[in-house]
Amino acid sequence: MAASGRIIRGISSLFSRKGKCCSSFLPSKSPILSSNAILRYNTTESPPTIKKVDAVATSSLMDFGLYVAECMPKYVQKVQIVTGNELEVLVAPDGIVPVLHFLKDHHQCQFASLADIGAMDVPSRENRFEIIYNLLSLRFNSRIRVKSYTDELTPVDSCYEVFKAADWYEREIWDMYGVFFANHPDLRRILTDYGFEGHPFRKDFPLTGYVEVRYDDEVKRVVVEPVELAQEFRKFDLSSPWETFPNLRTLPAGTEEDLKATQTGPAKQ
Amino acid sequence: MGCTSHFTVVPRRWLNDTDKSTMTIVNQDTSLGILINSYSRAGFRLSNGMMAIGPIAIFPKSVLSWDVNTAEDINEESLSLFYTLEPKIDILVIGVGNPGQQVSSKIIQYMKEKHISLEISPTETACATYNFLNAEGRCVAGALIPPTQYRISEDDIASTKRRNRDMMKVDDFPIV
Repeated sequence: MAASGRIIRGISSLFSRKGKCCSSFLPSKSPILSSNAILRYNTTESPPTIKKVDAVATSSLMDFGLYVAECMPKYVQKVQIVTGNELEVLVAPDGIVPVLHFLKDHHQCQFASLADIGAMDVPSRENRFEIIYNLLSLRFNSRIRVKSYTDELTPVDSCYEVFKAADWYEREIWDMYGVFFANHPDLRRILTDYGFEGHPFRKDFPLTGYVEVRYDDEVKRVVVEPVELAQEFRKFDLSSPWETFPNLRTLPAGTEEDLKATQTGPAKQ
Repeated sequence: MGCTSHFTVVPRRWLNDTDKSTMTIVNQDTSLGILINSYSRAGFRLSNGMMAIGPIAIFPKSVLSWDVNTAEDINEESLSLFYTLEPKIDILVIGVGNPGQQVSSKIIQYMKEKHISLEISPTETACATYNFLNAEGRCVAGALIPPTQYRISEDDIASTKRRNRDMMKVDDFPIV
């Protein structure tokens, strides 16, 4: 068995060199495999820039999403898989803390790491802000996204008691979007200057801002003045960079699964 | 030609003065003006050794008592001092006492018209904000109401005892 062990080690070193034949590494006792066979195996792979869709992994991810929906039927509104392998759970704003608590503490989930909290502003909607929680499970090596919604005036419950890491992320969302988090230990500005007014990441906040700062020599300090552009603001209407890839123009953004639908698996992309 | 070169062995860490790490405590620097050392239910201890009782209006060079009960009671009159000053202050740091106290939005609007930026927060964080805005050299004034609820650390209890010179007493109900 020692000889076969040496053969296996020799073959794996060949694979790691991407098919290049290094006969010096082949143990002299193994005439079985020819280098040509190994080269042929490696060159039938598809080009590395196309992401492989693993149907088995995607369907098991969808199963898990439906399991979460069954466990929390009161709050979970939709479950979807986007970009092939990312699971998203859409919840009502009342259910953010219960769902996050469930995902963190339940034995089958164990999403103990809060990777990020982000928000998105879509002004055309009634509830213009979308709050997005990205969780990571170290135990099961998987990620999940929890999304919820709110408008400008409705406060959202802070998940500080579930994830301590949410502290600064929620401060950032308060500062940049104006979403108020109830029960947050210390909700104040984190990125903008002290006297700054406005919420910069909102879509109606202009790119140049409203004020600019400059050093005024007369009063010998920095003064804040309304912004004055020396050159007229130029907006370049660039088309999307994906225009140059015609094959990818009509890719759907996400694969949605109705919670009551029968299991047919995700649509092929 | 006949010159000798002298080599001095200098520890690698300290080739220049700029290589050393230095630490300065902002509150001990008297040139920056009056800063707040600590706060309590009763009032504030300032960096020049004074203690101010009750709500205060604090400026880099002076401190005044402020006639206001709670954050809701702040009206145009109570803030009149801040916008009549010359040179005009950039930022007014308002410490509302406990977290959750609100300042009436009419006042916020009013101060915006007077071109004074407001920074409203609980007093715990407002004290620190005032301190380092002052240390940066910006024109800032503080309007602070003492909080009634705040977090106490072991260090706070120890420094109070040290100040009262009874480190050795065991206190069941430490007053900070």
